[in-house]
Amino acid sequence: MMVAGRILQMLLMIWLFVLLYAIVYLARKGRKIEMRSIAALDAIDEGVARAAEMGRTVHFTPGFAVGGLYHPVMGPGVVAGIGILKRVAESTAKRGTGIIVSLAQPESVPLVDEVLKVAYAAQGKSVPPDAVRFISTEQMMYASGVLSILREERPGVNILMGHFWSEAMQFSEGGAYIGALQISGTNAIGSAGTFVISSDYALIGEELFAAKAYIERKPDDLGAIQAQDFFRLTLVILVLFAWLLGNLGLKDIIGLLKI
Amino acid sequence: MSSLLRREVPFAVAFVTILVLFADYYIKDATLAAGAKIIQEWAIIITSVMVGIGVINAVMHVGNRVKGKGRYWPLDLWMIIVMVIVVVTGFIGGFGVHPVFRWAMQNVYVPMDLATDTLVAFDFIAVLYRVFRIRSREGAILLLCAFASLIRNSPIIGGLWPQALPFVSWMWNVPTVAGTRAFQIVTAIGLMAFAIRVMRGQERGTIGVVD
Repeated sequence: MMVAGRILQMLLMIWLFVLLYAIVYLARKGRKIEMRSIAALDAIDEGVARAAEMGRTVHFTPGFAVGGLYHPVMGPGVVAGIGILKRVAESTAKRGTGIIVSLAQPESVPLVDEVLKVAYAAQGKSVPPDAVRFISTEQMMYASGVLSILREERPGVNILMGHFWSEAMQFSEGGAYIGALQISGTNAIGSAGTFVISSDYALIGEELFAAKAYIERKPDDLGAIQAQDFFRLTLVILVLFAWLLGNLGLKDIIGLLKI
Repeated sequence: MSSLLRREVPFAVAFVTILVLFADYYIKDATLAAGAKIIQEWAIIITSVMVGIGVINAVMHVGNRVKGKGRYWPLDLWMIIVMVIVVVTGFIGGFGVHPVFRWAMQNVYVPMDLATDTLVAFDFIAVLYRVFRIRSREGAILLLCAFASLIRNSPIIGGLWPQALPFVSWMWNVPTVAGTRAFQIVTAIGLMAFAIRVMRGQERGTIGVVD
């Protein structure tokens, strides 16, 4: 028996599944899927090249999640950030630029180690010593640790991709203080505005989750992104429909949206 | 570790877990509810184990730096020593009752935590000055919103300039809420699609596999 008040939600979820599987299937069959250009992701190579020219390192951090990677909202943000690190590490390995990855989750250390190892091994190089720095699981300790790294190491580019709270402001302005190019992105609503204002390039909201697809351009990932777009369109139509019915006074029909 | 254990088994587990939890949320069924309860209990146990693994990871990571005499290795060594003292004394005679543990918490950890927060607070003030400068169109909008928020939350400003309050309240209740909801909806869609991609085995990073 269905739970009252969740039937439409379930239908929408099923619709998202159907869209995702159908579009991924079509993408595998050769359907071409275009993605709009995302400046923040295109700027990664530019930033690493800039750091290489200046003889400086690249700093990357995937942010902070309360309770670690298992948090339902913050955890995926951090994991999505680590997905972008792959691209950054490939670029630094190719150019021989130093890289520093500062972390707040001890459980993400092996994952980040693996990302760097794979990226550097592909270029026949080994990961620079002290590249991965676990700082602290305490938010402000982590924040002060990253600020120390920014001030002491003076990286040429500061890449902040993941989940950030109030430390977003400190990191992006800490980077601005040392004249680093700032590339940032977060799924945290409170920090997105700060990043937009204080960074040279910024990703907003779900762009962070779409980054992996944008970078790797695999049909499965691109299909998933297009499915999200169609799903969003469905929600927009539903909202407009509800607005129209509300204005026409047809409240009984609107009640169907609450089933 | 074989590919089956490293790649396929975790995804099979993730697939079944997500499916059961989804189904339990939408369908009222005793068997599903029991299954979801077992999964949630397992999740709590696994999360606790993972916290322990996280500690081991941190110690190994820092230990390697001490072994290789990396930069600041004496501080890394100090971190391990302090960690061992706190963990050992934390378990002696019950959880967190040993006098050494309590002394370390009350006289070392808490003051240092507060000191760090205070130092970072100075950074905040400097940062706020920089962020709220009008360097761009977006910066100007942010400053306007910050000012509106200040008016709304400071009784003295509202008292001196009551005419501004209806506009500020409207700004708070209409465009802010609309923008926040839009952001929340698109991020939620992104998260839902992320969960489905985990189910499909597209997000290998979640289980530590890097392609």
